[in-house]
Amino acid sequence: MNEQLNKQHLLDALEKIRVEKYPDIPASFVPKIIEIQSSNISSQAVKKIKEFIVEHLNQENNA
Amino acid sequence: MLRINKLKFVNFGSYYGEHEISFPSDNGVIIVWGENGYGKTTIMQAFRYVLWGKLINRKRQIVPAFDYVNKDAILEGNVESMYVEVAIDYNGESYIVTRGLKYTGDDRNSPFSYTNIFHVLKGNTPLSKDAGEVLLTTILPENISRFYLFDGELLNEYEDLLDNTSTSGEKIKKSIEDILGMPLLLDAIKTLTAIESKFSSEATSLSKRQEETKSISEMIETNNEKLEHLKNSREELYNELDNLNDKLEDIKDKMEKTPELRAKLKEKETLEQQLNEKVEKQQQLQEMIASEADDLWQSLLSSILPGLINDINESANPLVAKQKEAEAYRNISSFILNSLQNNGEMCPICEEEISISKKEELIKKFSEVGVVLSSDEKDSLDKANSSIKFLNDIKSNDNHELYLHILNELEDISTDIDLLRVSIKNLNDETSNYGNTEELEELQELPHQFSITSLKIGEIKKSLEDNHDEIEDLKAAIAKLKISLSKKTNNADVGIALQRQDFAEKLHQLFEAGVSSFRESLKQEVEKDASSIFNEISHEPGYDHLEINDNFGLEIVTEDNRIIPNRSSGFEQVVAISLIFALHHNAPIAGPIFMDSTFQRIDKKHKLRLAKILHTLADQVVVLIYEDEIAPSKDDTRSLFSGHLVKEIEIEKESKCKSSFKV
Repeated sequence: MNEQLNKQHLLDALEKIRVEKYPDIPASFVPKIIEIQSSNISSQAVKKIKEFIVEHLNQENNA
Repeated sequence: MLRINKLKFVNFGSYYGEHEISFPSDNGVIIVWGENGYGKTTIMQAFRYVLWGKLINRKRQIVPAFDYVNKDAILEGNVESMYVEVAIDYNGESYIVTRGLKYTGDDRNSPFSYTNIFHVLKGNTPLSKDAGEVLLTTILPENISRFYLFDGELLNEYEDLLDNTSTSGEKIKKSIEDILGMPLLLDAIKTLTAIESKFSSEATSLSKRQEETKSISEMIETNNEKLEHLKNSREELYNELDNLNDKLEDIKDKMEKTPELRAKLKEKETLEQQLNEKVEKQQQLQEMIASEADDLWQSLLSSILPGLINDINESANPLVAKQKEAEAYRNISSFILNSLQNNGEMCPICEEEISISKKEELIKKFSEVGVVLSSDEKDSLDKANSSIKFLNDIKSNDNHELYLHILNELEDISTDIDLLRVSIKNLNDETSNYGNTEELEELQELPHQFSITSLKIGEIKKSLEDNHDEIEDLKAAIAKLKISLSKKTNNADVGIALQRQDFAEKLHQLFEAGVSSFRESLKQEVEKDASSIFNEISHEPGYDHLEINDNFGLEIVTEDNRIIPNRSSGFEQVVAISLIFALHHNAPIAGPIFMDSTFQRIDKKHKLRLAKILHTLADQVVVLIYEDEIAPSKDDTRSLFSGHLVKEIEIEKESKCKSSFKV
């Protein structure tokens, strides 16, 4: 229970900043990064998040 | 989530042979009963040792594992190994962790005869040593152990949280943030920094190939290298600062624990200095007295000298008179002769005319020698005069008063020296119990070391500020160059690379900004939960809530919004326990909690209230208590945990080194 609650506090804190200062970053990005970070070792997290950013920007550019 | 199923000791601490505690699958409180010295704290130590390989005493000093090899087992020659084994479940997997020492040498009393044992089984599969250690660090990091192995005797360290300048407070604050999940955010920031750097390298590498952007990208590359260098310096400075803070904490700790000893050492230092000065003075006086002693015989004659001089004077008096008479005769005859020869016919005395014959007669008469001292008389008179002069010289050299003064001073100094030596010897005896000479010298050096270390910390902080300014300046310069680069480039690939880098940078900035926001949010949650628990435990009228500071230190606030200064040690304990509760309610890491000496400082009402809510702290709460620590009897205590008490274990003790469990 605590783990989820704690993660939610973190997401809420980050979401508040995203809305106020970085609205062009999609809302799904922050939870995705936290999810990847919490379930991967460092090197894997770097690889996966980088791929996620590239994929997102490619989609945005193609759209 | 971490759950403990079994804890086994073999020849560990006061537990001789093999002993095991199995933990029930139901959630709730497990009471371990044991009188003082029976081995309650050893259970907590066993859990600490098996997970992190460390044993820590109540001064927070590390104790060698060999000290925990059961002494009876060593004496009886039965010890082949000492180890602790714990069976745990973590995120749906079962693990068995074993850590200890194996006897491999030829002297059971020597720590060098033992080698380390460390095994981790995941299910039935053994993990490598490194994988095992990484797993344990992930399950329950050591730096947050204080919140799972709770020792009421060490609560004073939570007081440091109220002091914003305290380095130990800073360290506990960091461990609080660690238990509250800050590492996840900080790790995400590190990841995004790495990604931003990768995208930046890709963009620079692509733009360097284009003629129109080559020079700008080279400048960006150079600045990035400088930035990297500054960031590395920052890391080094932070590490150095951490080390210095640890050192300062260590010095402070030693100073706080040894005030009496250091006062004695200081006193000893002062007395030794005084002794050296007195001994030096004593030597000077001894030299003076030796010099004065050469003439001291003269002082012994001082009482008889006037008599002697008088006797000599008296015996010489007739000769002196005779000498005077001769002198007078010589003067008169010389005058008359001179007058007669110059004045012709006149008598120089009566001024009457005298005849020539009379004049010749007178000249003849006054030309005779008259009264004279014989040569013996002259010798006697010279001897008498010489003796008198000699005796008068002796009289004037009388130094006996000065001699007596020096002698008195020397005696006083010798007494002072004897007293100082006795005082120093007593202080030596008193201080020798604390350690050898080297250790005591180190203790004396502590205040000096403290000021040097504080000074170095100040310098490092200043360097960090400068480093921060340089990094910010460089970042601003790089940002400008990137804008120029994106304006100049016509290459689509460079454009995409810059877009990725820009996006990663924004994400990075967002997460960086999240640190203070998340910290604030955590503080609010901790304050809210700690206040709630505090109000459940506390029965003090007028106490309203707890207020948190930047360090996660908690102050008691009254209904009329005043902060309670100098709260009692009982309330210190209640506040610290409230903080522990709040941290566990908010921590993403969940595990069993061992609580030792939890109830000793608090009054009966607080004990009862705390006991009633203890089960809400964690799924498994192991309470280490003696029979009447909470309530007058065991039955009374049991009733407090009604419905939540899942197991009781009693420690029995056969001898100093033979404890066992009666389940």
